[in-house]
Amino acid sequence: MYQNTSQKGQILLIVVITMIVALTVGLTVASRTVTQLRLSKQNEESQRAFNAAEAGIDKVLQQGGEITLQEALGNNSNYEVTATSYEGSQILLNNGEEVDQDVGADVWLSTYPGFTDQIATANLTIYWGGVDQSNCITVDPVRPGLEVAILQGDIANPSFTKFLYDACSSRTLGALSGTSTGPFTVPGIPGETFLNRTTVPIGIANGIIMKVIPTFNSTKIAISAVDASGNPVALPSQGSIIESTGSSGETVRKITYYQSYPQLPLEVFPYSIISQ
Amino acid sequence: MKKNKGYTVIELLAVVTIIVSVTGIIAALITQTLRGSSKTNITNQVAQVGSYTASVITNTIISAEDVVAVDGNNVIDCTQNPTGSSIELLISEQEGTVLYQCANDTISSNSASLIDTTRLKIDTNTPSACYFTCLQQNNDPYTPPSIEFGFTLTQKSDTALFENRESAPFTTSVLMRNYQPK
Repeated sequence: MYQNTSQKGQILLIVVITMIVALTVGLTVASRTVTQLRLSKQNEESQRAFNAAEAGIDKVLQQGGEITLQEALGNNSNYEVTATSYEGSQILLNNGEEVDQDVGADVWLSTYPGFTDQIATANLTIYWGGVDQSNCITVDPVRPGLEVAILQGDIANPSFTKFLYDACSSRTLGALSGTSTGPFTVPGIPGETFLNRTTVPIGIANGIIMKVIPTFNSTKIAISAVDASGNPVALPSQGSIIESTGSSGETVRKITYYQSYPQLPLEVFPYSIISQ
Repeated sequence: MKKNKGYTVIELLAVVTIIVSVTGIIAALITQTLRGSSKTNITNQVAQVGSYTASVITNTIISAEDVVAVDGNNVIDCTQNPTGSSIELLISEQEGTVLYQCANDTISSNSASLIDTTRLKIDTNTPSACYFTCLQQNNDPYTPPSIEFGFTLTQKSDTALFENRESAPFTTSVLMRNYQPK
């Protein structure tokens, strides 16, 4: 009698254990598959969104101007893009990217492209050189010098002035040293520090355009403009900042791209190539 | 007790049938899974290599200053919308040019192949399967041209097995953002 009752529950136990094992294995496989599916969907959406954002930037670059566009693309993705002018009394050249050594960047002191609305008067302070770029001998990171060429005055008969700055003595002939005891921060541009600073010795009167060329090393460059009593003077538009947001499904990707106005060839500035 | 000692032929047959069919089903499942995983492998590889190749070429086009030649013919600008199996881009005066070319079942960048040629190949025999086209808007030689390119990536081995076959087309068009006509 006792034996019979003990055997009656055995099948139930075996079935339950088998089912637990089978379910565990099955559910683990299922959840792995679901995770993989979700990951690959996210990956695909991310690529779609990124490429949609890039397409938005290309579209604005082709059309030009400060515009806002949005477009739904056929492949379940869309973009929204806004181009705004980059201007102000404190600017970072190349929107914060390094300015190439011996190539330089333009600073517009009048409006592109017609050289209209020239800045009447301004004193410019230029900041350059990262805090780690402090070596005067040729060991990386080399301390950059700076060459500044200014065109100003009547457009029909402009005057040209050139200044050389180099904190390393006797490396550039005839160079001014500037103030080389950084780190300096630029008011209005948080998060950037510079090792060198100088105020351009001549005030800008009816500015046209200025070229700033780093020598010996590439560097970030910032410029701030004030009037005689120290109030900020707005520099005209230097280019446009294009912000594009692409989305696909639930994924959103955002890209910022800076487009400067076409750079004047170096040959426009007489005798400006000094270190090549 | 005596009755329980052996099994009838019917019982044995039933058990054998059940075991055989269960084994069959399991074997089929395992084969399916294995085939699926090699299909996933080749699909993944095609997708990865294709995206990589497309992004390398895209990045070069974005930063290139000028188009030197399309399909081996020197071009001054792209107002004629030249197209062909190769494109030569000027990166900068210092860094020189880069030649992307569809030839010998691969896309090469200055004769170094961009794809894994041990497992994959690009159809370079049909002109529409691997091409570069330079398009300039409004027939204006000073607007930045946009370059359209495409290729079809497939497995290298000429296999008949479905799970080892994969073919995917890649096409994109990029604006030359750093265009400085010479």
